[in-house]
Amino acid sequence: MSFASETTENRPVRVIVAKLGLDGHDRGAKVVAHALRDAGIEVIYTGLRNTARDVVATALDEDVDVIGLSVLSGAHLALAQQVLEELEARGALGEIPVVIGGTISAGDAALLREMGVSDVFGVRFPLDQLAPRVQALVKQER
Amino acid sequence: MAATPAADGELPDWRDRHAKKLAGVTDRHSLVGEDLDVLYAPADDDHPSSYDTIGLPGEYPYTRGVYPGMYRDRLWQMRLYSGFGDAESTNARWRFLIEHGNNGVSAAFDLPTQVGLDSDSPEAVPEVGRVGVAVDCVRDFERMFAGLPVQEMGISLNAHSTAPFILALFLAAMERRNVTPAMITGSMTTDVLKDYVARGTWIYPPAHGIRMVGDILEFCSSEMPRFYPLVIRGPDMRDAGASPIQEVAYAFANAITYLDYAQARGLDIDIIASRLSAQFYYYGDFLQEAAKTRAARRLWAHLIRTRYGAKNEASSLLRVTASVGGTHFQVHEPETNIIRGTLGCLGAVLGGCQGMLLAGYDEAFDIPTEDTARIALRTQQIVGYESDATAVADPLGGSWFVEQMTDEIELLVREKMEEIERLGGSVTAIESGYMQREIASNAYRQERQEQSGEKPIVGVNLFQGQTTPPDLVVHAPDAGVGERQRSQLQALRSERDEAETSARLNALRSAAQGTDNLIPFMIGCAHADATLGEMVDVLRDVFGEFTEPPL
Repeated sequence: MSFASETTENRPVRVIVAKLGLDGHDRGAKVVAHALRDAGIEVIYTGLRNTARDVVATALDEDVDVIGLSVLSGAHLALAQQVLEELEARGALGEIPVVIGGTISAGDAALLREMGVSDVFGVRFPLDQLAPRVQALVKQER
Repeated sequence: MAATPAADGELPDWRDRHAKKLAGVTDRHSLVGEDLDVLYAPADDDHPSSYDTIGLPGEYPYTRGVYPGMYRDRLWQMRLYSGFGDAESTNARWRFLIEHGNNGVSAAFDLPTQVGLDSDSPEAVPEVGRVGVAVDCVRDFERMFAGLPVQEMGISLNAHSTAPFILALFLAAMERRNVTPAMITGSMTTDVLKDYVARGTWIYPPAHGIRMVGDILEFCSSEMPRFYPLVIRGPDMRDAGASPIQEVAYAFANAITYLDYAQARGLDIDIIASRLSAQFYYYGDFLQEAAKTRAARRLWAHLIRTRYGAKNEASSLLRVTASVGGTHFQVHEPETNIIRGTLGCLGAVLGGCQGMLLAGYDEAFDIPTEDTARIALRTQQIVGYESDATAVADPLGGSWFVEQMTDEIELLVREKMEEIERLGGSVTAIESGYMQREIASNAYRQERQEQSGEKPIVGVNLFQGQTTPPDLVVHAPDAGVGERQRSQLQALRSERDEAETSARLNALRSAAQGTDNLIPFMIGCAHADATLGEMVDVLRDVFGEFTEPPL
């Protein structure tokens, strides 16, 4: 494409790591943010208690490549759905891949993928494989 | 009573000093059938100095336990943190647990309740009744405790940031069945500072949270003599990735903030400190977790005596509730968490805890089912009744390893507490994000160690079995609870005397602008059928909201 997309390709991958809703378990999100930063990825960590609207707005404003959600309250299906709907409402569904991490059963992981979530990271997902998986998604998009 | 000790010197004196408390201890026999003594200690002339640093059970500095007879006198309070769905489902689960020998109840509230949202608030919707029971108003508390012998059981309310409101709603419900605050035995997790550090369930800026902790301390000192109104908590920080040293140091740094504030407010240290307790977490390194508990008690005793000048000996005694199971329970081969729970339980018992909350082995998946809750309770009972961990007071006392660990942990905790003091105290360390960042760094280090296998976890990084977590039969969430809470709120709002409710809420607002104790105003609101969310919002207008510091 144009000159603009080349700049996009050359800049470091940028992701948002977000906590949605009331769930205060931020250990996983912070560990993931740390691991991604160590791997040279730019991370915007939102802190707690965001709405899907906040997260999608920040993602678009900051031009992130991937939206990462961390949910440990068990409400992952509902919260992922809200983010996908918000992306759709902003005309960005399919533009920015959404990934999710947390205590998620195999059944729910399959449901999440059907809903349009691009990748699901379970408990104990190897930290060193996180960045490559995220970068692979970005490559597909670019 | 058990056999007289063979040792000369201090022990007969110790026995005399505690004759009354030791008179009722149960007999225990050794494997060869001999009577077991309550306490084993070196003869005075052999090791005179050891008594100075570790002392004896039931005596300052309480390294060896807070009671002379320890578990020979009474076992710890066995409770499961429990609550889900609505008042009815929680009431039924509590009845089940009490029938199986649970001593009282430990109420788990859902996330909306923990952050002060009513069930019909839009942000609350996905979480209503999920990780705890949904409560919105005094009617929920009436139904939740219906038919339970509230005067005869320990009641612990795990309310966190919303503790003052929850206490008010609970007391209003009790008053409606003619139970006065003075009749209530139990405790409350009023420690709001740890919510900023780890739990994320904060509401107001810390200064206002501390003021309300002061209100609770003051109210309970005069109205609730059988209630422990402040549990200083470490487990939330440990869950967030803190080391055991950070756990104790940060919890105590927060405690110092409350005690300094209480003293500045003119509250008597001897009244406050004697009803303060602590809660810590227990992983599988049970000998060191036990040492941690002994170190924490000794450090605390010293702190209360020297920093606060407490006069009553009992003020410096720290009762400890143990939390076992949570982040160190694995999703792979979840049944193996029963063993992890047993090891943690042993650490807590060998450390001399007074209460214990042990998680179900399915903790990493969801809140416990009836079966997993029963096994968690049975674990405590088996350690308590079948093992000799409870046969004598402080069985690890005098172990070279455990005593040295106790000394080292105490020193490291002390250093970390001094670090927080140098930064300006725990509130500054929280507002700047210092504690949070320190804990996050430790969490990252720990995750690396666990993923590399440096810290072995059987079935996960060693002797790997299941490659993917199983689909457990987990607790089935009640899909209708949100709707039921919402219609109850509708009914409440249409039935109540609106003028009275507003008048009470306005009175709370004015009180918050001044310096009055807010608890009586909150009880007034509860009686007037104000909801939790309405009370919290009124104070949010006055106090503002906490802003999370960047990572």
